[in-house]
Amino acid sequence: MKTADEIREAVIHSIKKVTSRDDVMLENGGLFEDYALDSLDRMSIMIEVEIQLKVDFDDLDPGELNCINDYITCVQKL
Amino acid sequence: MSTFGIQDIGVYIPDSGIDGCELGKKFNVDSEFIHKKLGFDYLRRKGSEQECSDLCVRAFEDLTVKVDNDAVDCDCVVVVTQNPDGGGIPHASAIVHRKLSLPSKTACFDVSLGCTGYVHGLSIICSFLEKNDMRKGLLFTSDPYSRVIDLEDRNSAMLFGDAASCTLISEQAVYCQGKTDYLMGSQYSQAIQVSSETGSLKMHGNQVFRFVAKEVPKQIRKCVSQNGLQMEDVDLFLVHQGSRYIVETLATSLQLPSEKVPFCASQVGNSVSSTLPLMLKEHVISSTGPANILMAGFGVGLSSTSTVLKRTCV
Repeated sequence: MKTADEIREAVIHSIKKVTSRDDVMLENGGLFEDYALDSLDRMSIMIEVEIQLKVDFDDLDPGELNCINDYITCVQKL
Repeated sequence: MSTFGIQDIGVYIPDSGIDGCELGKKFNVDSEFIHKKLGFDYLRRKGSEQECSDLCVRAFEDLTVKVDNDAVDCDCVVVVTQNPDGGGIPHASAIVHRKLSLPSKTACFDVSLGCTGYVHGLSIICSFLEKNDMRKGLLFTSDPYSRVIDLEDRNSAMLFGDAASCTLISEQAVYCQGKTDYLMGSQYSQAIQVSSETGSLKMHGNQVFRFVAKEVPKQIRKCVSQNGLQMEDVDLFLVHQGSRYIVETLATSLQLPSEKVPFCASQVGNSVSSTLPLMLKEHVISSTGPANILMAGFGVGLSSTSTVLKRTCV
């Protein structure tokens, strides 16, 4: 099972890649919405996380993943 | 490779339309998102009295401004559409045949495909002409989605625009089609569909985006390789203009600069099977067009089709 740190690292990496930002300061509970990530960004981040962690979210709506903690919970359930 | 290919292209883009940002206000979508992400500042709309075949006729008129009426003496007419005139019978190509007073020897048929339709259509018409010892054909794309868009549906209302194209296919080709790769993801067939209950288009944007972002880059690389080329040998990548974000996502995924993967539909909208010929036209008429063009269409099905066009007179 992927650790919370591994998942966090993958999400942060994905946000950096999708938004072309060098620095991403986001707490695990910080909302993506407050970080100016729109629905399309969040879709791309989800796909990038799948690639990073070699997981498949299938038909999951990216709108259900609102913060890093949501990713940790979701990936660890897979 | 077939000796038949693209000789010239005519297009029709209606004058009137809807301002994308104004439409966005209705859905509380800000203009920055419209411009930078969806990319469609203006969505073209056909007149209420215009049918699919009328758009074809206008595209044909644009073609004949350049290649004279010799194009009328064609052996085959193919119309790519999923929104034909009226109830779909007779086929749109038969109506185009009548409206253009084409000769009785002309074979006419429709191809029911969405955003992959132009790439499929090229392959079909070139093969058809060759098989039947014909000389010239006309490949039309005309899919007026304004017929099926629900303007209250935020998932589709801000995306589509009406347009049409008419491609003259002959052995005096400027571009010939190389090998084509086809991919079907029919497990997502419901992702873009017209509801039988409402008659309106319904889109599952997440599924479409996932399919495109994950599958199309792989297919493009495969297609380039199948044609004996390296990625750097391809001068231009014309991809279906589903949205600015999709085009930019593909460019990033393929590690290509945006100049090589242009987004050109901001003033038209996603015109389904017409987005590729609308972009291709300027390169066909230019005397210095790119030597190798990768063309990729993807969407309804879900499906994706990629091909390489090689310039015959570099």
